[in-house]
Amino acid sequence: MYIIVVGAGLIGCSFVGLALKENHEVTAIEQNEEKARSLLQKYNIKVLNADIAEGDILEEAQIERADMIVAATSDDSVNLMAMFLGKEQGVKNLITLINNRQHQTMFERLGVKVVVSPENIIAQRLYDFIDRA
Amino acid sequence: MKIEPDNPMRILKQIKLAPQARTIMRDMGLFLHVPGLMALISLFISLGWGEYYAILPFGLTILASVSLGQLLYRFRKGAAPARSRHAMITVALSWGIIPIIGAIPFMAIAASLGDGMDTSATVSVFHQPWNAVFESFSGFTSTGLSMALDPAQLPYSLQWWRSLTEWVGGVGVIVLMLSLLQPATDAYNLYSAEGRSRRIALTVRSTVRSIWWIYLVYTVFSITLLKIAGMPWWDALNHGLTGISTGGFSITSGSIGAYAPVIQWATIPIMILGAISFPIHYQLLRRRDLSALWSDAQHRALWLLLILGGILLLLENAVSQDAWLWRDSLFQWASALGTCGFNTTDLKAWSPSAKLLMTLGMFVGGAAGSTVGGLKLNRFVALLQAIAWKFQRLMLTPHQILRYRLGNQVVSETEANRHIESVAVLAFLWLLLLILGIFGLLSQVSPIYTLSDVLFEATSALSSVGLSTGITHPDLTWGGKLVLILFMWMGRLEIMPVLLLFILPWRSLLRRF
Repeated sequence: MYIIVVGAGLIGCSFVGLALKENHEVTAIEQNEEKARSLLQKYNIKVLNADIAEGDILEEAQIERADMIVAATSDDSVNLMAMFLGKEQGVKNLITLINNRQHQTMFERLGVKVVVSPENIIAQRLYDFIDRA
Repeated sequence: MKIEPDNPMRILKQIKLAPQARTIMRDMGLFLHVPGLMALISLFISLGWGEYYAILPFGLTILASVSLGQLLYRFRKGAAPARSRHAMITVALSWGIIPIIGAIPFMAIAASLGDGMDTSATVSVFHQPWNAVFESFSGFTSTGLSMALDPAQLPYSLQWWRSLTEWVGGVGVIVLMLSLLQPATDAYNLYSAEGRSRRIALTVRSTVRSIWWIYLVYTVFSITLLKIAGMPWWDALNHGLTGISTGGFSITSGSIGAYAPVIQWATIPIMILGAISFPIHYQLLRRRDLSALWSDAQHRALWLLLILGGILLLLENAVSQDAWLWRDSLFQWASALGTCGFNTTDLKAWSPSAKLLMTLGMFVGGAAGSTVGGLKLNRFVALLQAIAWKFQRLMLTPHQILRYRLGNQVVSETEANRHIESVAVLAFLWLLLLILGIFGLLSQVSPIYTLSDVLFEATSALSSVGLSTGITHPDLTWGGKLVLILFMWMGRLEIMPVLLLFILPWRSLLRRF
């Protein structure tokens, strides 16, 4: 599968690592140069150091053959833009991280799979352990 | 009233020197003891062979070495800790002075044997100081170019002394650099048998010790291998010493070519072992990890070049000489690339293309961190890498950034650029010096030698190889010998330390004068 990851923060980085382990092809887009370089030091993938709002950046990432776009930045408007552009290009799987819960419905209207605030997920997992005990 | 002459020691103490100068003199003083120790060991060899005339020459060497060493060591008071700049100067100066002390046995033994009818021409040659100094420089830089017309005619003491200088000289540069350099520098890491270990002071000593240990093991192995292959003990001992140190002095007139084919084949792995870096040997011996031989770019390049160059040389010889010279081609290629300098055949008869190919091999040399000379494979690989990066950058999409991989680690763009810059500068210097030397040598040699011969000889000296097209001969003018001596000296120390010596602010080291 060919996956485009937008945002190479902690979560983006970990995702790239997991995807590579499953032998998927990954391209990452990150606007912070330092983060982009540190991702490249860890993994041998194509990294674009650019802002997704800049015109043709998703074309440069060859979105036309992408099977999935994952938006993992800490800025919901950037994530939204990635999802919107992905939808426009007909990418089948659109997944995003949401930092603000209030944005959830807007994303879902786009037909996007949503992961709400990572803190909640961790809390939920911790709670699950209690349940089982 | 009589004026009492000053006690010379007191004068010495009154000279005001900058602390760095004292450091340099102290360290040099220590290293200058080395030829004395070597002469002491050689004394027993002379006694063993009953060559009593060699006792005085070796005694003189011990005297010169120890007295000069002690004199310089007197300046240790107030010495500052060595910085890498001073370490480089110390190494450059030591490598210039030690061979001069090492020339004493050649001259003194030649002198004590006299010029009588019994003395062979080979020994008489060393009445000339130029020849003795040349031979000694060739030994201590583990080069192997020789003024001896027929090494078989040399007394056992001198055969041994030549082999010993190469054996000590080969590993000496590494040990010196290691014990003087700051443990954090790149050069240090290159030689460190512990790989990426940074436990400083403790490991310097243990690293040096493990290098000597590895060196000894391989030396014993080489001698045994040659003995099993059929060499007599004395021959195996000498060629074992000069083979593993990638030196190349021989004790026969035809180098390894004087022995049976089996011995020639057995010498190839010894030359290759000498071209593998010590950290890899360490992993091989300690961890029994064969994959270490394939683990880094420069050793992959070594295997690739060994195979590729061997085949090319074989084909070239097949075309130009109309014969499949399997043994000679593979042997000479290993000898050139590993900068060893053993011979199985007379290279004068080989085609210019074959010589040029071997010149390229000698220019590049073996793996850094071993006893080889030349530019060394890690730099060769880095330059190829830089070419690859250049093209990769052209292929990038507008926003894509390039992943810089050096050896087995990914580095930042700045680090990558700095590394390539220093390698490119050194490679350029190397070429520049080579061209200058070729001009110099061309003006000194007899017109029967072609440009390709001169290029071959100059590269052989600069890369401390020791293969010769015949230019190295007692009949060469002193100017020509000087060019080759300078080349051996500069090449062994990778040019920079010697250049540093010339551009040094000498005034700052002397406070008063």
